[in-house]
Amino acid sequence: MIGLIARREILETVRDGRFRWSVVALGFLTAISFYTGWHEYRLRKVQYETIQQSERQRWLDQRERSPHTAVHQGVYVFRPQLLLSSVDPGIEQYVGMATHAEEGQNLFKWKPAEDTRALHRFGEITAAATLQIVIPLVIALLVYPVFIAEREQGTLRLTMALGVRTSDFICGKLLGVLAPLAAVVVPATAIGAVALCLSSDASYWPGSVERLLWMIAAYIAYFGVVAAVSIAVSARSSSSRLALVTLLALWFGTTVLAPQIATETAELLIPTPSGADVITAIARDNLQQKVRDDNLRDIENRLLKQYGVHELRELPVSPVGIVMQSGEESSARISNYHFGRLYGAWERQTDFLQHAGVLSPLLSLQVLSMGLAGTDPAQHADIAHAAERYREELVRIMNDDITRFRDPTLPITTLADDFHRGRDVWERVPPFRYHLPPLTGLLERYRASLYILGLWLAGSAIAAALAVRRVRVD
Amino acid sequence: MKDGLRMLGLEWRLLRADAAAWVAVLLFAAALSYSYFNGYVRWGRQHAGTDNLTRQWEENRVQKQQRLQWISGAPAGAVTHTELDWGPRQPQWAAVWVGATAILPPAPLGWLLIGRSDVQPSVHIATVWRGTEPTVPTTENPVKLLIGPFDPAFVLLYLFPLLILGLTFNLVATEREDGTLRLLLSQPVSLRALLLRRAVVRGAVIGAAGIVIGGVSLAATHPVQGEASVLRLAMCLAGVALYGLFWMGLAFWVNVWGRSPAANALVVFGAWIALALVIPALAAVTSTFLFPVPSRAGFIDFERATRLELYNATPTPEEKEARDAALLAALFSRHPELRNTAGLNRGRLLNAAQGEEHELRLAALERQFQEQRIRQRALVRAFGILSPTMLLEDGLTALSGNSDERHDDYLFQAESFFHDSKRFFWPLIFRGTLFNAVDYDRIPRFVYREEPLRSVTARALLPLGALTAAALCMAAFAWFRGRATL
Repeated sequence: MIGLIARREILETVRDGRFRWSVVALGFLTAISFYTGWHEYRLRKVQYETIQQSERQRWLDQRERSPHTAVHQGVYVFRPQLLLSSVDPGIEQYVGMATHAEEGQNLFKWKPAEDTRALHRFGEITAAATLQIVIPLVIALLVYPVFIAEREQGTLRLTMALGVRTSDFICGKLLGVLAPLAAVVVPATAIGAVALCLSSDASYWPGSVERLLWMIAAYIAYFGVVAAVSIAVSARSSSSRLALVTLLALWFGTTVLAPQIATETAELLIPTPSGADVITAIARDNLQQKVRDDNLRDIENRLLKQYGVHELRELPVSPVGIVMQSGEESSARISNYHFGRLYGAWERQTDFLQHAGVLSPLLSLQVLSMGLAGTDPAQHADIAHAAERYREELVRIMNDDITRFRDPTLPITTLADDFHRGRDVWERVPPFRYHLPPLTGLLERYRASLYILGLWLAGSAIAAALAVRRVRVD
Repeated sequence: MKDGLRMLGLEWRLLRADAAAWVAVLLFAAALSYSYFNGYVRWGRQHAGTDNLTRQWEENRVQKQQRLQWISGAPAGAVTHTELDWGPRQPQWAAVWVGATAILPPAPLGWLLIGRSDVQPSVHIATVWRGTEPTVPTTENPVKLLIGPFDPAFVLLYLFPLLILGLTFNLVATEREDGTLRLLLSQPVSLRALLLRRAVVRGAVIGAAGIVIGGVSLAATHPVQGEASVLRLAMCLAGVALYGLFWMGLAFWVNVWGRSPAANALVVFGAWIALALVIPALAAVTSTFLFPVPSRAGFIDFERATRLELYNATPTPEEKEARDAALLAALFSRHPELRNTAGLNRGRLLNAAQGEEHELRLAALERQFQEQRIRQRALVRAFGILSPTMLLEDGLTALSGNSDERHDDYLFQAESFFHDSKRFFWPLIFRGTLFNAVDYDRIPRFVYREEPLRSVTARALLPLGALTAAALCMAAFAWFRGRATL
């Protein structure tokens, strides 16, 4: 019986102009969004990697010079492009693409969004936006008349009079409505997923396939919530007009309004320090640090005592290298503290958004999807930390070389001119390599989103079941 | 006239009984209030940030000036050699520590539309040897930047038409379905007049909600100051009214079609999605696809390669000498007044030559970005013909002041200021002149001159004119379509 009802419903759905238009629009948007996402990802990846290699070459090709001058040249570190950013680019456009690893920590600069056109950000075409905003709308438009239209036409009473069991009727109807949509979405997703998994980048980023599977599961859960809520509304509404308007209002409220209001409220409750505040605070704290000359004298005296000698020339190490490293460590502590406050505020805001998911399942999904794609603020902070560790290592290697090999009697003022080193020293600095954090940590971080999405799924399924059980025949 | 008013009163009573309509109006009023609050708070923060930076710059200048006064009067030996050789007496030191800083003040109606002011850098510095560069990063949560601001412009562009469509998609469809419309029209009343009265009553309620919320918010916070801002705001409000007229006309047209309430809802909501979401998104994709900006990563690469070429890479002393000579020759050709001046320090001239060459090469590449952005903007504007949302957004963006054009104007003024700054510092640095305390008062300061109102209004008039045409066409078409239906 279920198959019979489903077959009839599928036929009706496929003949329905709304479905045909929806499929055309959905197919168009999906194709464009996936293509542009993949294209952008590949473009960025190739560019960043090429330039990262050029930077490496520039670093190695430095002429003989002071390691301190080499630190000033430094290396640009680009944000690694993670495979799933092609599906959900998340914050990719709104964080800097590169940072200069040199003396002193820098934030990532050059946001791609600075170079884009002036249009309101709402309504950008990305694969994630299509999945998060367009598909729920299509589901709502297809599902809203499932019960109500039959009742309005009087065919529901007729069907029930034939002795069809309510559960068979419901299953058949749902199968009939959702199967044609699934016939479009599932193969497209499967092709995309297989293509992503087979790409060489999947092996480059271990864990990408698992992340993709989690992402697919999260989206299926979200579509399940949307379908269940639509069924409940269709079953409980007194007219198809009311069902449609209610679902459209819910769609608008949960997909358009809720994310905006939630992010604004997060900013009001947990304000991020402004860029000016961060920069000023770092400069102020660095100034308050002991001046370098004083430090140098202290360190020289300490070293003379430590090595039991009376003259600087008898020291086996250069005090200048030690003072440079000491200054670098103090400066790194200060900038890490202030940048940490900034990233901490982002993290707390993200936690707020996770919990705001109780108001809209999209919030939970968005946060989770960005996290799995590696395009969330936490991932950016992790990349920034990795870049900072790399910078600290680069500076440490250079200062260590100064400490070990520079004449201890030479003054700090001539550091750039009187001590030259070559390629063998530059080669001691390894190229920058980023390792994706393990999936378990990520799932732990987004546990609240997972639970809330699960609760939404369970709650909406129960609501749909209750609504369907109480569906009125006339 | 009297009958007309009585009929309006009747419609008002009907609307008063519609609880769903009032819930929608209240939600809209709440959203508008919250968006105003957000926009105003953010605008206030921008003002505070700008004032803070300006004050810090001034305090820093005074501090350095006072230090120089102290050095000038200090007994011998009290000042370290380091400070005498590289301290407040040296113009080059002053240029570094009291450097040229340009700050873009918040837009006149920045509370109305935040636009891209949250991603565009608004503070730039330039030293005497280097070109301009952003100095204060934007640190807002990128998720917030991704989702976009919840400002009054967002509410007016997206929620306002939804409210209109929500209240007007079913002016007579239910009555048509249950047969009471036929009865109603058997009275001496035309369908068009009936639709018009209902639309007017609903429009008046929406307008009153907007006026009350807007009026109270503006009266409580006084964000509009000066005649120019009042004119800008008046034009914005006219644009919003026209935008409302367009959507009202669309709903009117759909109502005279004579379809079911559900079909009406689908059509108007579909139109909203197409006009407010899909076309702007397609415009964005098309503009970036047809006129892609050059790679910013490539820009960084070029900048690095240029810097190393100009400052570092010198395989042999002969090649270095040849490069330096070429750089100096180029500098003298751009600044002939330096060529024949005696007593200028060659090393500093070379620093200036390197810095300016670097700046010029980057400027050539930056121009390519700018040209592509201008082409993108032009194409997006052309798409505006297809979407009233884009037209209103274009108009509001221009009038609020958070437009790309104002930002470009700021960058232009900043560039000009940095050249003034160079003209001030260069002769002092090249001659090795020492600073006096009073010279700190002469260091150029940046003051942004707001765009002339005429250029702003001219820029806004085009989209608002197109919106006027679209709104009037839609209203007229719906009106005549209503007669045809009769």
